[in-house]
Amino acid sequence: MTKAVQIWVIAETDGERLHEVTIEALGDAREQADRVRGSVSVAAFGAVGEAIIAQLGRYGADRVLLSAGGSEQARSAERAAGVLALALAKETPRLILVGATSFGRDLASRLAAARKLSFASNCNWVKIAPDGSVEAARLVYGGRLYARVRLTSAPALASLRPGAAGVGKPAPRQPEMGTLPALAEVPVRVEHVALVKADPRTVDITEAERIVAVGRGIGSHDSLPLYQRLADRLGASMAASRPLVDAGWLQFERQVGQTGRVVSPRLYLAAGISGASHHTLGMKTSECVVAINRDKNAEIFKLADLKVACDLETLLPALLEKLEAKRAA
Amino acid sequence: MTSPIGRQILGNVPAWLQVAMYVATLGACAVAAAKVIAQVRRWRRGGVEERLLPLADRLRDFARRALAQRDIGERDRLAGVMHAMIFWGFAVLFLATVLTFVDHDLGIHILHGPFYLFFAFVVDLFGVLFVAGLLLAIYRRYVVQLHKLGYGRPGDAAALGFLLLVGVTGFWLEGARIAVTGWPGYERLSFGGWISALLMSPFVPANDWHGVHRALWGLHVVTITGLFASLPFTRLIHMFATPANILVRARPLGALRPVHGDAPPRAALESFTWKQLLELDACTSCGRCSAACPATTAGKPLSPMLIIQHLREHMSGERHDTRILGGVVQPDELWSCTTCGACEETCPVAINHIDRIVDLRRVLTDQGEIQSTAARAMESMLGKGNLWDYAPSERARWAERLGVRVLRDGEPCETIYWTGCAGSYDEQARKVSESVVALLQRAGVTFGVLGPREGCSGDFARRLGEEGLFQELSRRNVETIRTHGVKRIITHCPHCLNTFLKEYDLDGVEIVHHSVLLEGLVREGRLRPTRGTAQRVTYHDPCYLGRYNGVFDDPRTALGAIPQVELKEMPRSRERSFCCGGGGGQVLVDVKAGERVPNVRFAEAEALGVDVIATACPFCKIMLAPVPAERGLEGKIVVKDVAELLAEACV
Repeated sequence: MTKAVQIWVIAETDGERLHEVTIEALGDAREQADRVRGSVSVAAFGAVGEAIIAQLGRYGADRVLLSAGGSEQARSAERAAGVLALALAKETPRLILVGATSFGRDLASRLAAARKLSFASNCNWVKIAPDGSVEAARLVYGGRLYARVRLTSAPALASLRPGAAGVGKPAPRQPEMGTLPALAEVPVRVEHVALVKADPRTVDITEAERIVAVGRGIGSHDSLPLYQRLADRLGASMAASRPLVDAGWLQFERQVGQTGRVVSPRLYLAAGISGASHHTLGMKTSECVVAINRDKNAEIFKLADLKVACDLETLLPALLEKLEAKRAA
Repeated sequence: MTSPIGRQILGNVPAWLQVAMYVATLGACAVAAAKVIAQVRRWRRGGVEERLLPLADRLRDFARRALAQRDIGERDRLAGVMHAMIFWGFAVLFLATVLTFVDHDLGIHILHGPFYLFFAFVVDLFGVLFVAGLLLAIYRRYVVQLHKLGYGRPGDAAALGFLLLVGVTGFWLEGARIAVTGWPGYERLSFGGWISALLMSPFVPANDWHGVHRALWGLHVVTITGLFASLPFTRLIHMFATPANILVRARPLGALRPVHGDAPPRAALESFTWKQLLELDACTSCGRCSAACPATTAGKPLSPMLIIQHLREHMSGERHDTRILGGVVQPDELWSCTTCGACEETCPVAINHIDRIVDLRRVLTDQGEIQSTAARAMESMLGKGNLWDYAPSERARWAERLGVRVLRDGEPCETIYWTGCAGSYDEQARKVSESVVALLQRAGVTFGVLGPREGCSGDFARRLGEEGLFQELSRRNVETIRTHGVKRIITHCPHCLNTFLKEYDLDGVEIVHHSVLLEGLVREGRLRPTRGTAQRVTYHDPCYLGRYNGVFDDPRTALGAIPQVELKEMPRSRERSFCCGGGGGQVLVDVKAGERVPNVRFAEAEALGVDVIATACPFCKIMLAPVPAERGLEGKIVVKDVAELLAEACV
């Protein structure tokens, strides 16, 4: 096993769930490992639950290396990079993959500097050739060209662009467990204290994970507080189409569309928005679009994952009631 | 003396007063000349102006605007009459003064006999017109206080006062001269002076006019020298600067001044051209531009007149703020401009406001001081070839469905249909392209589309101040068009049309707007609009088609060919059309102040009681189409392109 080519994947997790890019990177690693008959190890930090280990196994991890520590310590890329730098003094994987998230970027640069590794950032794909050399491709010049690069150090380090590879097929196995130096062993200059979640009511809508967007179809100004309540229940931020902003119902900072913000939240709930191109240009890349509109021919439905053609005045109270009942339960 | 009829010059004036007059006059002229020379020096601090208009055109313009004073009266009849009275009054009185000098000082005696009688009458007539014109001016500025004349500057009252005093004291003096010379009967032809003399008589002690005449002569000389010396210090400098400005008019509407070299754009007086600095003094702040400006009308922070006047204040050192951007001119003023050209069209003194606004936008854009929405669109223009970040590969998807020939790389094609970004991707505008295609196919016109090889024309990039991006897009498109051996480009987008015609290097390629082509096809009988439902239609002139490129009639003729269409004209139409609010990249930016420009325009159409607002520009459609729904008039008034209406009628 020590002779075989090793690929390491650095996991990003909040202790309960894996970041999707970790699963993507794991899928890539598994595929490459299978081609060169190598093995895949996943390095994870902090308190990692059984469910996560099971999920890592499901996507092809041969080995899971845990670095013990508290949850705040685990959020420190500086600590994680320090742990890995220590670990790399003992083992030499052929390739290390990490997601190009803010955590991953931070960690990868530190690790590359500490161990003098070849590093390609924000890659679309990374391959290990049968001769063991590592090649990666990344977009350059604003996405118009691909640059293919060869990584010469051992190990080679690459960060993967989230969403570029997609989640691979499961390749279930029972991972072997191992340990890495504890997070506390690494001296740091910046200590993580706490992670404060942004208030959906004040966060910039381009950063919001969920958005409740309202349009002319919501009728009167009086119904606006109901939508704010809906947004609060969903942990969502409020946004609006241009006419409502023009009418002064919401601030310009909350306008979605051509002359407003371009948003790409995980959930975009469009209430009473007809879907003129002026608006849809600002939200067409949202992950999941729920559209509620009285007019069943509304343009917005063309973009929607869930289409609700009904009167908002009847739907909204019922929806709020359900959400509030669920919260109480 | 050959004739008893004649003009007594400088009689009753002692020699020392005469000498004083000559000294004062020469002194006043010297003061004025020094100021004019100083201003010319200021203008010369500006950079090179590339002039595109031939001299013949400029001379014609000069005759029309400066001599015939046509444009002043075109938008404001009373102002035209007023200005002509003052202008011609001043000119004739000035000439008369020159003639008396000629008669007296050069010894060429002309002011006698029948010519003197004619002279006396004409000069008095113009003198009366002059005074009446000035009273009218005072009435407009100080009594009714016209809103558009709201910008006053120091010296306004002095200028009007001096002019009026010159006229009035002239009549008094003439009256006194008539009395002093013993009321010769033929002087009744100098009716102004005669009447003045009669009116003054009761106040002249012992009917001894000699002292009165001398005093009035002195007063008249003082006002004249005062006027002359002050001319270039007040707005009357336009007497020099305006004719000069009209004579050096540089470029037609729609061809922006290109940027050469890589030096970053700057906002300083030196970075304007000498012509742009001359314009600052040519402007009389008559307010026509701002009255016509859609941004001003809608309550946006822009007033084209104030941009010019504030820069003039800056040039003449009257302002405290020394920075041009963020001081003299605010970014929001610049971003409110739709480049519609209404200001330039209506300006009687041939000022190019838009070049100047875009020049300043270039500085802002270069410094990254641009709305993120516009920046995003420009990144997409460069990377994806369209305004909205759509995939280039999707550009011809609509056309494939309609069986349109999408050209392969380099495939020769004589006539192409240039769809533009809007016509390719935007739902509203795609209905236009689909209609054009249906009509062309019906009429048997052979054409292809470039699809993914077509890229944004860059009109918006250029007008948002991103000259480098425009040049890159233009280079790519010209290369593509040449590669395909294109002889004729049909486009429904007036923005692409204008930039192809005036800013691209496409010699030998015919550029035709769809409305012109379709009107021709109807006229030739190749399209037969036979089906019609009764509809009242008003045609909204797109700025870049009408004002910029003179296409007014073809779309109207085409609409008129549709059965049961009743065409109604909006108050502001043709050359004076009011912008939809989308030009100059305004589709992409939103200065939240006042009303939205499209709403103002829509209200104008709504007031006509029409069912359809027809237009011939995809961006006009994008701007105007959502307004009915916002005003609760969904389905009652629709916005459609001429091509859509024709396609509905051709079945």
